[in-house]
Amino acid sequence: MTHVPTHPTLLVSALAGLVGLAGCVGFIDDAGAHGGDDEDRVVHPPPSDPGVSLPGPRLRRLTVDQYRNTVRDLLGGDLEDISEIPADYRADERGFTSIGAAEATVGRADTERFEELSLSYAAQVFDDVGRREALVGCDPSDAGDPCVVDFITDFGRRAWRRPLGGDDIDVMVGLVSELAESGEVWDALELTVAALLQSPHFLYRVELGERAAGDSRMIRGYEMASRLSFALLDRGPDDALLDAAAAGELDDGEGVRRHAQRLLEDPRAVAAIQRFFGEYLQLGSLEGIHRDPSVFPDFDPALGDDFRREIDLIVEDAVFDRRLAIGDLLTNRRAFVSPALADHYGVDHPGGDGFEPIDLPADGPRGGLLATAGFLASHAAPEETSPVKRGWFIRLSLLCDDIPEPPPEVQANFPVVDREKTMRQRFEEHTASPTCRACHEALDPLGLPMEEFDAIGMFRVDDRGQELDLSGELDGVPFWGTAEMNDALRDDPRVVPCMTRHVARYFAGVPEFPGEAAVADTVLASGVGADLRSILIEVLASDAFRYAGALEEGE
Amino acid sequence: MSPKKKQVSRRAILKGILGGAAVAVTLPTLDCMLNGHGTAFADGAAIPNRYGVWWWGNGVRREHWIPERAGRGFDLKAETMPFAGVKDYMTMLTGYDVPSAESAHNAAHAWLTAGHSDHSKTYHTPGSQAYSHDQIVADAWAGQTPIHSLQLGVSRMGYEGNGTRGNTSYADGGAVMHAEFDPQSVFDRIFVGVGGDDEAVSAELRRARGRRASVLDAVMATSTGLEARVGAADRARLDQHFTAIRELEVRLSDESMAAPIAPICDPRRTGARGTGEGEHNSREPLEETHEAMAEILRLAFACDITRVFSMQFIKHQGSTIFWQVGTDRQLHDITHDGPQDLVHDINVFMMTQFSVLLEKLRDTPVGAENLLHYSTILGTSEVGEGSGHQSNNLPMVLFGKGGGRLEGDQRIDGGGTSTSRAILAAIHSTGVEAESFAANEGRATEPAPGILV
Repeated sequence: MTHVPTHPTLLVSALAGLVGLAGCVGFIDDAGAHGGDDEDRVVHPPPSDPGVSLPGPRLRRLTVDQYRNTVRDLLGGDLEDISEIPADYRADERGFTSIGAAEATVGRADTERFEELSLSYAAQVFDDVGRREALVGCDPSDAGDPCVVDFITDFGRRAWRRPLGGDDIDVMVGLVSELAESGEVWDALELTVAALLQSPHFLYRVELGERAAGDSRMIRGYEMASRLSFALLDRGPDDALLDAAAAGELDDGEGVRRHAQRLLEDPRAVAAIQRFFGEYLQLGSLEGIHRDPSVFPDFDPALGDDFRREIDLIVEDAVFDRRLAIGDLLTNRRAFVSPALADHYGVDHPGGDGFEPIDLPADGPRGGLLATAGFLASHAAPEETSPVKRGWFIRLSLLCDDIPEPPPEVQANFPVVDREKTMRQRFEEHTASPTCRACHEALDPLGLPMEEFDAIGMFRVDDRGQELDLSGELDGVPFWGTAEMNDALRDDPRVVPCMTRHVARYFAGVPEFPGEAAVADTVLASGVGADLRSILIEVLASDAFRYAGALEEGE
Repeated sequence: MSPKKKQVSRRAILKGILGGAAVAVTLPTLDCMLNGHGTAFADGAAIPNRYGVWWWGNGVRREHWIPERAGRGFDLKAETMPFAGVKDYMTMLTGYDVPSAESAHNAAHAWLTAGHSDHSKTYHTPGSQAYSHDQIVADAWAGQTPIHSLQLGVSRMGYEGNGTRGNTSYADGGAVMHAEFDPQSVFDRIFVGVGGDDEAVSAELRRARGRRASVLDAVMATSTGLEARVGAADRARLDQHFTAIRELEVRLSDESMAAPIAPICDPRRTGARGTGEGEHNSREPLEETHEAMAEILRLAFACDITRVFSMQFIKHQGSTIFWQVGTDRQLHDITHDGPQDLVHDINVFMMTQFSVLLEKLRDTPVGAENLLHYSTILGTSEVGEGSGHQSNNLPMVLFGKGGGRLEGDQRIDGGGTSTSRAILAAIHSTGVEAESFAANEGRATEPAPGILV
């Protein structure tokens, strides 16, 4: 057992040795197996705005929800996950999972988990004679039965979101034959289903586009079917959408718009939009929320689920049922409360034990997304409020302002905090300091008016026994308290373009890109409705969703 | 046609767990395999080294970390006191600076890998040049053990929820290598899956493994064309994925994996569960999870199942709640506006956990020595102090003797030498003579002086 000191770049030869040992790895080049993606000849029109510079195409690993939904669509809903589906990847608290999916990898542990899951799903279906026959659609007598090829062709198209190439079908039919030599054809088909489900073509969304003029890439056809369906339904495309792709209906903005409208009528689209708001509003910490029991002795962490549920119901009502203008999401006084949440809000519950819509008083402090307990609690620390987190959200996520990271000299000298003082007193010390002032002047006047809501989103009238000063201002416009601030934000011309940019980032799955503001301007100049649903449809029909930049080569 | 009656449940075949008997895969280094002195194999081959990094976020309290005395017999301070039992194996490194413009918690990307991380404007991972030191070593040793390397984590709590700000391991090409957080799941994956007490069962398991290998073969056969169609970042991601598939296929195909079980490699299932997704906030079982992970590492090293790990005890800028020391606040917040005594208590708690792993390795004999002697384990964090975010004089400490390349019981001051050069020295201490570590302004081609014997 010697080990020769090896330069890292010799990894490739080391691996080659490993593969040689196995003696059973056959490589079949499947380039060209995808039909119609002859890179150099197919030239599509360029994106309409030359100033837009999108990142190059990326493989996106299915998110946990996308994986779970898609497997169930393919195999039937009644399935058990025998181990944890590899977790979503988020850069940080502001990161979207749709963007993290472009960076998430399938490492050794994930590979084994996906193998185990796919074998188990297939076993759960094929152990049941009725289920397996319903899935396969016939009772093959042996591996050469034509129905084997038919099944692989049909199931493969749905699993991989495109027709399998001839080579792919040959490999899978070959697998059935090989396995059937030492077992039954049903067992062979079972393992072939597992093969299709642990393939990179299943685990990643392969939406690489085709060459367009100007070095960009246009996404169309089956790739667009995949992109649209995962974006709006968090699952792979169904046969109808794949057929539409085959018919060329997804090759231009108008076709994408039409199908986006259709998909948004699907009740399952609600969950996908709720997920967007959950990530946009950074509600992840509500699950298993922790509050310091010495500060909040009566707080039941289970209420965190109610906080989240309320926002989901507000989104469904405001975006789908009433189609409110985006600005009105900040002042909308329709709330949804469980009995416990009604208590928390100090309002009467209409009755029953579930969530019920109520209209909050028009002159009260609460109303709009920023005044939900869910937003307020997720923008707080376990023991106290966080005007910085609240102000930061408004600046970055609602107004798309650029707040620089604290400069190094600040980072090296964070002031010592006197926790006996009120938040406003503490923050006044920050604004007095020349180094801290730049950021705090931008954040505090938006965060401090919300001090009327504590770290669990309950209304309060004092902080550490002292009366609250809720004065704030938005770039010169003064206000008092959350409700007046929400009115100012609703009318601020930056909010709708900023929301549009976040919609573009989330649904296209790309980080902030040059020309993003121009995309928002184009979308909003198109006579689009003021509600999120209408804007989303235009974003999907825009360059941001239908194009990618050139393939990026490394240094 | 009716489905055949299955002798063994599918679940059992998948997991290779039969009647509670878990079967391990390779033999530990036994005395009978060694030369008369217990210092090498009987055929003269060297006993292999191991490498790892034990990571924690938010730095240390320097006044309780940096020794007063230099050289041999240096003094332990309160936050290094938990290492008293392994001080003979300790190389305390002070005075090494991050050679990068990146600052604060993002510096970790820069100095572990020297990849750039413009996290606000682009994808988050640090870029194609990121190639972490543990992976450089693991790639150099690829194919010598059944498992290439392990990436483990204990606390799931990132900064504000379970975001993945910062990672400890990046593959060649910059693809992030996610940590595993559930010890039971890690255990099942690496120790379980072959053989059986009963020959009929073993035969069925071997057959099932062979068929799984055939499935993977088909997966690869239909996948390789993808690499030609994607950009560089995706190619690196696919490389990692395909390597994993090929390695799994090799393991499934290898009949020798059904070797008889050796007593030391017959661990009971850990029974320990890490924190699940969504239950990350308040009461993570940090000690139990880490102890189970440490035991897995001890066994994996002893049985030569893998030789490389990274352990992320808490994440970069981690907001873990250390309820064990009586607080309900998040560590990152405490470092900035909480009592620094509490930060100190938490640091002592973390280093005590680290020492659990180190003592396990020290107490596992290998010939005339022990596993820690044949290891190099870098303990480190992303900032000097959590409160100050300094990128100079980072906490860095090496444990183990690299099979004799590190002297132990030493404190070496770098006097401003780059962390990259210190890490290159750590790499070289394993016997892997990498020509360089890191890229851009952080690139080092010479190991820092004075560390290697």
